[in-house]
Order: sequence, then C-alpha cells, then structure tokens
Amino acid sequence: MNNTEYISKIKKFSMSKIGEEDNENKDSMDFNKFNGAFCISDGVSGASFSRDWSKLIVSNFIENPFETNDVELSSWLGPIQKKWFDLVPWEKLQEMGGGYYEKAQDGASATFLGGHILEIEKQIILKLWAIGDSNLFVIRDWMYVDSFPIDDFEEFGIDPDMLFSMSKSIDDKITCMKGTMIFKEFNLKKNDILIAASDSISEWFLKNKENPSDQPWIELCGINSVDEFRNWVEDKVKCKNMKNDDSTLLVVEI
Amino acid sequence: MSYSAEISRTHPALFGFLIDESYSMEEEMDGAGGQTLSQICADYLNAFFNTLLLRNIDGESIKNRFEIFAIGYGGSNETRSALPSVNVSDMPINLEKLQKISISEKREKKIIKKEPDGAGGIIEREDTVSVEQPKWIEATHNGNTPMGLAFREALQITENWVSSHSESFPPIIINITDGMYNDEDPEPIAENLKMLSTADGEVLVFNIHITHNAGTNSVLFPDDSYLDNVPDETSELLYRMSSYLTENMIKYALSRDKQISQSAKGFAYNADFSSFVDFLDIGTRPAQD
Repeated sequence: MNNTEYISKIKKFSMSKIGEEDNENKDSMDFNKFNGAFCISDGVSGASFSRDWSKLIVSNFIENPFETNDVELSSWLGPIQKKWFDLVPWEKLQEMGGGYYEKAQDGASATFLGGHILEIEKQIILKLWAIGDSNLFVIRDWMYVDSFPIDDFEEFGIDPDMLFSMSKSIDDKITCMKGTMIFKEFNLKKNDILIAASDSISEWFLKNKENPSDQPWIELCGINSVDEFRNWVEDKVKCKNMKNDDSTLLVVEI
Repeated sequence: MSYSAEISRTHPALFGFLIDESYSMEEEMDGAGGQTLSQICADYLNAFFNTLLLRNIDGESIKNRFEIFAIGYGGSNETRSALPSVNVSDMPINLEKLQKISISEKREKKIIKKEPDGAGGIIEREDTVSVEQPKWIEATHNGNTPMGLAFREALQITENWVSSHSESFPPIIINITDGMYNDEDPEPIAENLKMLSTADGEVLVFNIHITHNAGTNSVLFPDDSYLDNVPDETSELLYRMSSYLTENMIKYALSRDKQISQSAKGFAYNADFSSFVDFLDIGTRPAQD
C-alpha cells in the first residue's frame, strides 16, 4: 500500500556522541513516507564498519518491510550481509596490517527496531519487530500507553541483542543474531504519537516516565530542529541525566 | 573527583608504564615454561598494547583516545624508553604512533577467512597469509633497580600532560617490579605524582610485584588490612605507594566475580599469569569503555 495520508507529521534527528565527528555516528534511522515503514538500527561502537551495517539494515527494511509476523531472519539478513561484505575494502585492510583486517573479520553488530504503519479496513495498525534495545513508545491523549520491546530502564545493559554482519558461532551454532526477534502489533488512533529512539534516549525516557511532573514525551515532542535536538542531548549528558552515546529520535504523529 | 570523564580524541586518557629491567628480572617464573620475569612482563604488555589498538580501530582508521608512555629502569641506575624508536622526551605517544612503531614479526600463517554465504550462514576457507605479530617491549634485564629515577621521569611526563589535558580522565601509572629500589626512595615522588590531577580526579599510581615464585601467597587488589600481615618491606612500600581503585574499577571487578573490598588498592603481590592479566584489565578497563 503506497498511501500514508494517515500520518500527519514526522520528525527525525540523529547525532554522534559528544566529542565525536558526525560521520562517526553508528546509529541509522529512516522513515519511508511511501509505505509507512520505519527503522532504527544502533551499530555497536567497538566494531569496524558498524555504521555501514546499521545503514544497510535500515535501508533494506524500509524498502521492503516484513510481510509476516514470524520472520525467518537468516534469509532476510543473508543478502544484506553479502552487501556489507562487498563494501568492506578487504585487500586494503590486509595491506594496512596493524589488525585492521582481523578487526573487520570479526564483523559488525547492530540493534534493530523495524515498524510498519498500515491502514487496513479503516483501522490503522502498527506492526513492530525488534532485536536489541532501540525502543518505541506509544503516546495517546498526551499520556504514555506502551513501550516496545523494553519497558523497564533496568533492562538496558552493555550487551544488548544484535544482528551480525558476519554470522557467529554461539553455543556451537552458527547464527546471524544474538537473542530473539520479537513482534508486537498495536491498533492506533488518530492523534496518537509514536516515539522511537536509540538506547540512551529510551533509557532516559523509561527512567522518567513514572514521574508525573517529568513527562519525557512532552520534552521529546517539543524538539523541532537539529539544533534543538543537539542542545537537548548535550544538556542531558552534561547534567548526567543521560549517557553520552550516539542518539537518535523519530517522532511520528498519526 | 568522580573518575567518570568521557574518553575521546578531544579528551584522551594516559597510561604510563614503569618497567623494572634490573638483573633480577632474569629469574625464571615457576611454572612458566622457562620464561623469565622480564619476558613475561614484555609479553603481557605487548598483548595489552595490541588489544588496546584493536579496541580502538574503527574501519580504516584508529581513534586516538589514549596516549602511552613506557619507561624501563635498570643498568647503572638509568632509565630508557621501553618503546622502540621513541625517546623519553617524545613521550607520551598516541595510538596511531604506537601502531606505527611496532616491531612486527611477519610470518606466513594459515588463517580462516570468513565470508557470508548469502543465506545467513558463513563460509570459512583456509588461506595462507602473511600476518604480523606486533611487538613493542623487548625483554631486558641488566643492572640495578633505579625505581626512584623512573618515578621522577613519570612525574615530569605526567605533570606536563595534565597541564594540557585538564578535562581528561586522570592518568593511570603502572609500575611493574620484582624488588626493592636501590636509588632514591620512590615513595615521596609517587606521592607527588598522586597529587597531580585533572578536573576528573587525581593521578592513579598502581604497582605490580612479580617474583619467580608467582602465585605463592599472591595478593590482588588488597585493602588496608593487608598491612596487618605484610610479608616484607618491599610489598609494604609498594602497597603504600599505590592508589585506591576507583568506584567504577571496583564495580567492574565485582562484575567479573572478583572478590574485592570497596577500599581496594591497585596493588598485586607475587602476581602470577592470571592476576597479571586481571590487573591490567581491571586497572585500566574503566578508562577504556
């Protein structure tokens, strides 16, 4: 379906951690206004070519979002892994020595949060698939309604579930991911707001959502420009309310 | 004084190593297959540098988030650069420079090259390639133990560094020795070193004591109760000279199932293989993440 008239507003912002260059941002995010698909992927910072990996995940998902709830991930990821492999300059890395080749051979990893907003028989449906700690929050009538896949800030750790650019052996089994992909479906209403974010913002959101005076969705929905987003993140990090990390925010108003 | 400063290229962290190269480091460590103390020390520092570089490689570049100095002390009460092609006066060096100066031993090696199979699996094929085993520290053992002089060099380098890196994570200086100094007392100099600070905390001085009978009565990260039953004068001195571990280091050690006091110091006595590795991991890791 190529009609997303039911979406009234989209805002998207992403920035690298403070102290790093913009081109070092390992987060990727995009929204396809032609089919209502969106995706956030947070590339792990300690791996090589993570930015390329998260970009490939996002672009492939929003072009062709999943059609079934129960996805066979290895067949979807396989061709994307090939694309990642083909863009790594292996020969150059080998000539460079110094561990560059070996580091790239370990592969890249990234979280995945894919969403698809569809109108089916006049009902607006949100389908979500996730692996890792990029999160989505549903706001209705300016009140927090739900969170996916994580709903407790204490679940944010340093070792989230990930999709691998090079499949690895875990528990004696070759696999393209750590963890399990989970799925959820929501019925949306007019004026609902969806907030999708990478882990640092999501953790801050869940820490603050219970405090009636600190409704975090109001702060996030009030951000309207790249400069405002940068200032907001820098302020939160400076006050130690949020960890210094690549930060990504997507706000969709229905 | 929180020891929580973000480590970045703008605000790098500093690791300094003081390495005992005295004659007694020629002793073989028990159960180490004939390896001398100096060889073991060199092997672990080389492995540490290599791991540090690998952790900071990003695609086709390296992030200069750390600076390094390494000073050997021995001979006729003298210090020298323990890094190849770098003078003490040019230290510290960044990671890019560290990578460039490694003495790489190239050798043909069979490796497994990995490639995606396009269906979520992996194709592994054996290939013979020329691989490099990078090395920086050479095992050396000769002469005296001028630990005081080494601390004096460290004091000067660190003093200069903190003056131009006031926002950085505080420097971590690690002294590795098998015995007592035989020049000036290093303790007052170490105290001066520990009084240097950045906005994030005071300089951390840690000591690793290694001997041929490693593992016998070995102690890793003790607290002040260690002084109730201290085995000898050397270990008492090195314990006193050592800084307390930071809160994050203790948290990290506990997360690795290490039994550690909340007031543990960065000190190891009769360190064996595993405690040497744990020491470098725990004593530097909170500054690596």
